[in-house]
Amino acid sequence: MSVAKNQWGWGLRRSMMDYNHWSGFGLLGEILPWKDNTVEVADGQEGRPEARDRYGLPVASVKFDPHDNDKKLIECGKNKTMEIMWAAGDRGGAGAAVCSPSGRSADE
Amino acid sequence: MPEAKRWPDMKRQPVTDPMTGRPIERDQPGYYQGFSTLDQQAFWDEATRKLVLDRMSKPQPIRFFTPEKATTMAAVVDRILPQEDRSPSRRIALLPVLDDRLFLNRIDGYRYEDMPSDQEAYRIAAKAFAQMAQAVHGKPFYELATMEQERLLQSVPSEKPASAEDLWSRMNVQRFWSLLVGDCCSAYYAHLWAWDEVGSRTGWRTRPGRWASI
Repeated sequence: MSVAKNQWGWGLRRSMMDYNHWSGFGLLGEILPWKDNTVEVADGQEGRPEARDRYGLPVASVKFDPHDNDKKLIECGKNKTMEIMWAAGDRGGAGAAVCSPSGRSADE
Repeated sequence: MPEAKRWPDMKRQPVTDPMTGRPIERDQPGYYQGFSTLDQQAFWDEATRKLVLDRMSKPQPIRFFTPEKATTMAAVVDRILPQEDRSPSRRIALLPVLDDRLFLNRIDGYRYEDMPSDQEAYRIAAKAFAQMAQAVHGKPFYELATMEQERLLQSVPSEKPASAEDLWSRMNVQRFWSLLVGDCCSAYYAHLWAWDEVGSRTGWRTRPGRWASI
């Protein structure tokens, strides 16, 4: 919600006071397994980057970019979600946001 | 350089009711006067109770930020989540929580390629906020009026920073802003007093014997 409405300051404090009146709608969409989207272990071997967490374990190096079909899917999902919420009586008090892999997510 | 002020010693004029002239501070803002999450603690398992009550204990000392950066960031987080509607003794300490996470390197476990580490991002930002205040107003950030601080802050996510462009260009400012607001929210809304404020019935789901996530 803070993502959707770009809220901070008093606006955010006031929105959060309405927390008990929020409903959430989550939609899980499938993105196609594009070859150039990869998850690798960042152990520094074979040309992979190296990055470790505080336990010394290598973290995941993720390469992800949404392709055209993914963007269409996300847009369709977002619109369908808003349609459903509107039909259920939600008049968009807290705002709509897209739950997308390339950014933070928020519920409405 | 003046001695850096420590949270919560930052003095500000209390916000007053224009009709009565009295401060509008309350022990518990929100719509749920008299509601206390702690009333439900009989239903909590021991681990939950300890986790929740630990957040009420004395804030950690500042170990990541330098005194100068801490003073700037204390003023910044006070604008991100203002608490003038709370009585001074009932304000939730935000900077110590953020500082603790950065000091202990409690990170998300991933990083976007256009961002430096969380620690580096906050170092850059603290410097940039201070620089903006000096460039635009000739004063340290914490000495500015509320509206002046808010205007400087607003200029960051709108991608037209009032100054210090060279510092802000070292990271994705939208991601940083999201990180900053997110960290402040996590610190604030994890606290019992904030749960009381929003009337959150967090406690009721956790019964002894059931695994609970908070």
